[in-house]
Amino acid sequence: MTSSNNNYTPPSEEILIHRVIEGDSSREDWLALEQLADGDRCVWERLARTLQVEAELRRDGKHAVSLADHIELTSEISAPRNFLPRWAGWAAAVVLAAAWVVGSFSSDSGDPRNEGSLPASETQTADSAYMQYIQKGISEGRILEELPRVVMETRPAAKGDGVEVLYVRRLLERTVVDQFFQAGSDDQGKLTPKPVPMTRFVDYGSF
Amino acid sequence: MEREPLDIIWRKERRWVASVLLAHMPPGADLEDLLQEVALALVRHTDEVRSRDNFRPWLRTVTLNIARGAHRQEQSSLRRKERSLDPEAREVADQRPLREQEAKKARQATANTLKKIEELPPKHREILLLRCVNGLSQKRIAKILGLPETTVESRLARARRKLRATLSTVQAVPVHDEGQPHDQ
Repeated sequence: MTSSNNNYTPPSEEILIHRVIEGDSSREDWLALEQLADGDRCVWERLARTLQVEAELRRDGKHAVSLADHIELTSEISAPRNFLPRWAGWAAAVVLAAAWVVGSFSSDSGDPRNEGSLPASETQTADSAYMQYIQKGISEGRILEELPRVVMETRPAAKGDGVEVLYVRRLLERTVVDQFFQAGSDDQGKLTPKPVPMTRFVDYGSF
Repeated sequence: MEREPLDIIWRKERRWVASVLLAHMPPGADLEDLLQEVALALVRHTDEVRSRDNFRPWLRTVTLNIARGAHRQEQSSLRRKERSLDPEAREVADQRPLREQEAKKARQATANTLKKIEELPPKHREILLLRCVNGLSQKRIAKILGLPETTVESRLARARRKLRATLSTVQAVPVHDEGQPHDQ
C-alpha cells in the first residue's frame, strides 16, 4: 500500500492514519502526515484516539467472537463429508462394511492361524476381541449401542493398492457413579482428587 | 478440495464468521443461535463448494444470508424468544456448555461491541472486525469479500475514522459520507 516514487500524491488524513496503524507507512506518508500536523496539531491527537478506540473494540470484540469457540459441529455428520467427492462416502461405507464382515467372521471361522496352543485371547483378531467386548458389555447392561463409525479420512494406500480409511469406532456406554472428582491440589501443591458435589450434575441431561 | 475434516475447518473459520454475523445481524439477534445456523448450513451444503479458493467467500455468503434471515424474522415481528432454532441444527451444531460466568462475560462483550459499531454501516463494521478483532490481513479480507485490496484499505481507513468519530466525545472530527476517491 505504500509508495516511494516521485509521483507521490499525498493521500487523505484517514489513509495516512490508517497506514500508521497498519505499520505500513512509507517515508513519504510520514512526511505528508507531519506536514498535515504542522497546520493542525490535532492530527496526532486523532491518531492517538483512533488507536485507543480500536484497542477498546479489539478487547470487546475478541471476547464476543470467542462465543464461536463453543459451537462445534458434531463429528458424526461433519466428518464423513470432509470435502471428499460425493462417491467417497459410499466407497468408505463399502470398505467399512467389508472390513466388518471379514473382521467378524475371519477370526473364528477356521483360520489355521487361530488353531494352536495359544489361548484364544492371544490369537483372536482385534475385531473379534472388539465384538466380544460389545457382546459382553451389552449383556451386562454397560454398553447401550454402537454408534455409526465416523470416517475421518480416506487416502490412497501406501502400497498403492486400495484406499486407506481412518475411522473412529464409538460405543455409547453407561455407568453409575456415586461421586465425581476433579483434579485439585493440596496445601503442598500436590495433585489430589477433589470431590465435586453431585448436585452440580443434576441439571445436565447430557454433557 | 483439500481433505480436511469439516469440523477442523469450522474451528479455523468460526471466529471470523462470528465477526461477520456481528457486523450484519440485527441488534436483538442471538449470536450463538446464528452461529449454530451457519454451522448447520456448512454441514448441509458443503458439497456446493467447488474449490478450496471459493470456500471462504462461500462461507461468508452463507453467513450473510443467515444474518439477513434474522433481519427478516425480526421485521416480520416474530419475537426472538419465539424463534426456535431448527431442531436439526441442535443435532448438528453442538454447543459446549458454557460456564455461566464465561457466558455472561462474552454476552456483555457482544453487547459492548455492538454498541461501539452500531453507528457504522455494516460494510464498515465487517471490515473493521475482520481486521481488528480477527487480525485477518487486508489481502485475506479482500479475498473473502471479493474486493480489490485498495478498496479494502480505503474502506478500513474510513471505518477507523468513523469509529473514532462515533466514540469520541472530546474530538469533533467531521465524518464525510461515501464517495471519496479511494473507495471503489
